[in-house]
Amino acid sequence: MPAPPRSNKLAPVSLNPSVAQARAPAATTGDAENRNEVSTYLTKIGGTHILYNADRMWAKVTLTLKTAGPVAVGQHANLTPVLSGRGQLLQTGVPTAFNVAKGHRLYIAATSVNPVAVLVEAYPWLETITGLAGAASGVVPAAPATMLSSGKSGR
Amino acid sequence: MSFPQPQATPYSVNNYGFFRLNTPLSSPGDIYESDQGGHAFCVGPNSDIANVNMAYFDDQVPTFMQFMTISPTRSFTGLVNARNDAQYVPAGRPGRILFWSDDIYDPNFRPSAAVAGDTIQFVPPLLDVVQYFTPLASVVPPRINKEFVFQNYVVPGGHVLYIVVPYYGRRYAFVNFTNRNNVSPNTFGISAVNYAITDDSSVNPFHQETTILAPAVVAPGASVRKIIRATVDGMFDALVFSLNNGGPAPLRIDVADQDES
Repeated sequence: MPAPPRSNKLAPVSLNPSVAQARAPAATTGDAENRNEVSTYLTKIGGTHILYNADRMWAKVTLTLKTAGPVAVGQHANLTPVLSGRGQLLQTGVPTAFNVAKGHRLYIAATSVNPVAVLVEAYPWLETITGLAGAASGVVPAAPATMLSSGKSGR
Repeated sequence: MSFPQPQATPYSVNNYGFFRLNTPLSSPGDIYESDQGGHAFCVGPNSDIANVNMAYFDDQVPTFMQFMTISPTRSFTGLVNARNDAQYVPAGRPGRILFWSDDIYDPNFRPSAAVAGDTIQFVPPLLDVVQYFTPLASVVPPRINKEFVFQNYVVPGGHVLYIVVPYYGRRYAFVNFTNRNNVSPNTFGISAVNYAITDDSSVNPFHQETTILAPAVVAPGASVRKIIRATVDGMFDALVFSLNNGGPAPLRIDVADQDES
């Protein structure tokens, strides 16, 4: 009797812990993941600080500087001096959007206390797409060292 | 200066669109600061000081300190950053935006006609500066027409009381004095002064005094009216009113930047 057709469109996942593999995408997107985050961030004097940590999913982060600044924003962990050009300077009253990939952070630096309106719009569908793309590529080959340890030649 | 000095950051945190430095001067050396950048600067509506100096951080100046003066006839629009991360030299102070009066104020001034036993009261000039946090196309900075009103006075017996009212940059004043004391006359006079940097303890300080209305007796129930115009009388730092009776004697002084004629 032939095996029934697989209803799952995702590629098979290896159970071998020594083999790297792409994480399967979430089957559903919950309400929490779809919810927008709206807040006002008060910049701190000196140093570079994490404004948004995209550890869970892709997101579109829109920032609007409410006062004169200067306030620099970027994805480098050190944006100081603020006017050095390591980050992008926000313009007063002009919404500026950044697409932050999963696993990345958005940093902010300022020399005075300035309110910044923050709107975080999650991209749960982008998470699904990236997961599908990774899964469709199949199991990622292990590193050569792993293969050598199993007695196989790298050539 | 008022204490503590007004701070710009609470205005920013509380989502005001501006920072207002509104404080009486206690000495000509008072310097104020803002640690917030601004898009426009102008003299505030209640300011008695007409010319306000402003300093900001400029990398192209040897001391990193660039200067500008704003007045009721000249505001400034354009982004000026408060460079709190940088320092002026050689002071080593943070590169904040600084404000101070360009007009001279001397609380130790004494009229040349004053003698021992006379008293003097100053209306301390207000320094009012507005710093906007958001871009503006223009700023219309005229000051309000101020009114100063007095009625009863503490005058030492047999002596003169002088009242000094700020008049920086004003071009018009209307003075109305009425002796409401039904018994005693009141000797009322008006002079004007332009302050100078001087040693007040010297015999001959450098202040310039101008007689506007020579002291004269005002009989009970009588009134005196005087209009002071820049085109006629000149421009002064302060008006000085003298009287020798405790009143009641309503004294109303209206000052304006524009000649009302």
